[in-house]
Amino acid sequence: MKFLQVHSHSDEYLRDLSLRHPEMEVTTYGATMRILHEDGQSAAHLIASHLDAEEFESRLLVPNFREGLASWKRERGIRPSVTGNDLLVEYVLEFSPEILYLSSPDRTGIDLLQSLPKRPRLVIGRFSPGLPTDFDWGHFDLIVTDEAPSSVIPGRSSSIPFEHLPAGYPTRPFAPLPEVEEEIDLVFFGRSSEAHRDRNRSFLEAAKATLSQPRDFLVECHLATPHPELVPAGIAMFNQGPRFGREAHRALKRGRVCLDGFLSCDEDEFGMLQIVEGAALGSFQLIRHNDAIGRAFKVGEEIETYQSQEELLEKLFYYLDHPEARRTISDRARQRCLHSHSMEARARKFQEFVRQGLQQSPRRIDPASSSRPRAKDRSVPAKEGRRKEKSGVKKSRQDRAPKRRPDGLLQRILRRLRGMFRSPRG
Amino acid sequence: MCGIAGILNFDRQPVAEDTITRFTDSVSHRGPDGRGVFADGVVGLGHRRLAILDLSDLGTCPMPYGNGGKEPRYWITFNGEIYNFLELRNELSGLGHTFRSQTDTEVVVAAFAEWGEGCLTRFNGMWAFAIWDTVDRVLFLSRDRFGVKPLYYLRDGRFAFASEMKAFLSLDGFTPKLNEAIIETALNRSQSFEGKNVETILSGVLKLPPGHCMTVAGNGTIHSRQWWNTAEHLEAPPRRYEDQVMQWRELFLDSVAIRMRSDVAIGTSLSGGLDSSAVACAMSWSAQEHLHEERASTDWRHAFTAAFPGTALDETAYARIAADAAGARLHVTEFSNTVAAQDLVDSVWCMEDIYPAVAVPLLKNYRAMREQGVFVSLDGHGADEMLCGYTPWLNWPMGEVNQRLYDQFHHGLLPSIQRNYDRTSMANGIEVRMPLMDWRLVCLTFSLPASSKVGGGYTKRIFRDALEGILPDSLRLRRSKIGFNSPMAEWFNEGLGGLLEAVVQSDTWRSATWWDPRADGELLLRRSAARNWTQGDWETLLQMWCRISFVIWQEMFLHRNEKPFQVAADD
Repeated sequence: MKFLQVHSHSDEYLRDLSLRHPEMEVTTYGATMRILHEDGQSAAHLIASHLDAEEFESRLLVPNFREGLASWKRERGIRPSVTGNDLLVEYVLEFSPEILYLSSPDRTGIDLLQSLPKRPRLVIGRFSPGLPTDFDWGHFDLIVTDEAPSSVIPGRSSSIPFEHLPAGYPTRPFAPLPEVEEEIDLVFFGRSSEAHRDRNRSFLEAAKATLSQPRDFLVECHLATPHPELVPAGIAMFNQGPRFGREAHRALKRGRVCLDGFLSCDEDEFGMLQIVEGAALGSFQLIRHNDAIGRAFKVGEEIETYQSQEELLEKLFYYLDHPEARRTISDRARQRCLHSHSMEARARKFQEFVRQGLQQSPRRIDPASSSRPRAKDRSVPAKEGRRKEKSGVKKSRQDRAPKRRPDGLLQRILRRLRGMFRSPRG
Repeated sequence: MCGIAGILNFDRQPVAEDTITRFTDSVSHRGPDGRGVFADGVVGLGHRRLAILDLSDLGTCPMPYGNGGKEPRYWITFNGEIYNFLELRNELSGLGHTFRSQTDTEVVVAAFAEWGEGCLTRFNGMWAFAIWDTVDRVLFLSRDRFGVKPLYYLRDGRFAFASEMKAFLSLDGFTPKLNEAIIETALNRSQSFEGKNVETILSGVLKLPPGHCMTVAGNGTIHSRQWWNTAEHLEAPPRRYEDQVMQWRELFLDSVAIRMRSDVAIGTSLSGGLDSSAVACAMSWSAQEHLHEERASTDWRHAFTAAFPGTALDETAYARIAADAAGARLHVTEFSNTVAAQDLVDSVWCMEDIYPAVAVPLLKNYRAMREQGVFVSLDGHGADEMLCGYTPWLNWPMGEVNQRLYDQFHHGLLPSIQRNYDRTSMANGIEVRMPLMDWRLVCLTFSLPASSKVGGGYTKRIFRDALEGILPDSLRLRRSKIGFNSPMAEWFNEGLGGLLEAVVQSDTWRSATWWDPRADGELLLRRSAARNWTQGDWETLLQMWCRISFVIWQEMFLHRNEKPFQVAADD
């Protein structure tokens, strides 16, 4: 069964990767993907390479990976003028996946989906906080998410099944970096957005404590800041800029204590299991307490949490003064991850979802019937639209698939009836 | 550095010499080295001298200037220090001016004679002065750029001015009254009150704002105007941070060097923090680099600190590192938790305004300095406000840091701090000089991006980087900040019981309408008796101290009780 995971990385990360690996400009597509894979960015979410190879032929497509797509195009002799969505469509058509998994659903992924002449048998989307509230989940047959309850997913119809799929512990491709020495007392990773406000506030208070507490302690922060003028001075003071992939892992390992792991947002109830990525590296993590943490780790034994700023500092100083206690907990967290939270375990669970999804929902939505604006309606400049009409890709796609008609009333009623008899989970 | 006073009668009545003498002597603590009085019909000028430059009688003020000393046109009474007076003197000499003394005062009045009001922008220093023009019959007054030196005035059928608010209590015909309209603001926003208001808590007494000057004519016409606005003097800084650091370092060291010009011994007050330690070590560096600089004091190896043994505020160890690095002798004044309550009452008289801090350590530190024969102190004020040195300010978004610092520097916390240090130093005849408030350095600093001030893991980033090789790294790279404060919780728990009881039981406290006298009084006494104030009560303690000091202030300034709560204080 052909499985394609589409995952956009942040443009900032990919720029950073380009700087670290200039050889990607001239190497093969396979080599660029290997570099990307080994860098480990978002590895806890990249499930394609962990699926059972006997059952699935899996691929990962990174739509904004310039060097990767350029080498793929070069190897196939595709004209340089074929770019953007047209190129992604070419990629998908060549592979012809039966299952499409958009693990970072965004406008690019939806555009790609809408442009496909033939919809895959199963389309899965991963919910993550930070998506626009008007995101249209009507394109998907199944939604997976870290820990979020279904009620927090805006725009999700109750007819679309929903499954939990926490981030996993990626045992490969990277090792725990034993050569990196602990040099920093407290290390913090984050983004400066509204969704990160509470997390950033925790760090800000810790940063301020470097001035107000009599003891000296070293702090380092790696914050992605699209609007540096909005970042509080106490955070900016320690910010050394974002780190990605292996560089992020190295920065994490330099910290004796990592505050709030690689958490992606403030929400208490989900997204928290991204701490497994830090646990994989053997990092000691001090996490703001929430119920989700307690479900995944034994608090105080496998992970340490804080409930107030006072407790944060109290525990920070305690664990800085007790390195053995720190190591005991981080070792246990790693063991727990190996046992319960590995990517292999996640892959097995994911495969179950896929099998069920294929049985229940061979096709929910015809792409042409989506409530989202269709390709021809998109608000692109008229000139751009005309240019696309002339492209060879457009023509070839038209040749391959008959033009679809919009849904009629009967189809919409049938779809709703199907949804009523489907039992949503989550 | 001195105390100044003056009267200009609008009713054409001459100013009696004993009136101006009494008025002048009300600030005698500011100038223990001599008194001078000038009375000329409707105008009278007074001066109490703290002799720093040219200790001879030629430095006596009020000082005449013009016409070769015969029927001089100008008379000046001057408080302050013009650090670039040697350069200006050379320039003025080239323009034909002749000087009798070696003072900066004579340079100031000569500069006024030459350039008029335009002289002000040529001065690098701190000042409040008045010049009487005997020809135009106009009094000209000016205050320095940032208001380091104070100047108060009153207009009540006459124009009277003085260095301190308390001077007006000795002025004939002045009845002290509370300025009811602003007292609530003064109590609740006491840290920013000084910088935001021209009115004072003493009704009718006003402040000439920093960077302002004023002309007063005999007919009662008063014209006040702003002569300095920092924002108009900002320039594009070097683009590279490293170049910014070099420029900052050069200016800082020069500002320290010119502030070492003195004909008496100079020293420094060390808190143990970055700013004062930097000044101490820069003095040492400058002394070596400018061995032959004209008028630079060679007697400078004196450092003074206040110690609070056993409390979280004690930074003696850091002060010792700084003193050792500077090659200075450290004089330590220790404070026990049972500090004499009488010092508190004295400190209120000295401070003469509402402020949420007990000034006793400052007062005693400068007293110790005077006792050791040191009359000038180079201190580290201004860096926290220019370079984001206070912890709560780290909450500010980076995009707002510069504007907020500018506001704090000019209209927020710093003006209050300057006032406190002026009063506590001058109460002991000590001149405080502030190298970090050199206008050139201020303009450069406010021209810099916020990232040059907060970044690289530090507050006051450029300051720390500029001091590499001058200040030991154990101080330069120290992040924790304590600040020069009194151990309020310990003192409220142990030393002030008798005074607190007397204050709370006084009619002034009981009749207060700005707080709940009964509930707050009970809280104050109960917790002090139980000795359970802690550092966590810091804000409450500061608020309580504002109220207590305001009650003491009313007893002394309004009810004219010179020694209020005497029995309680002696307990």
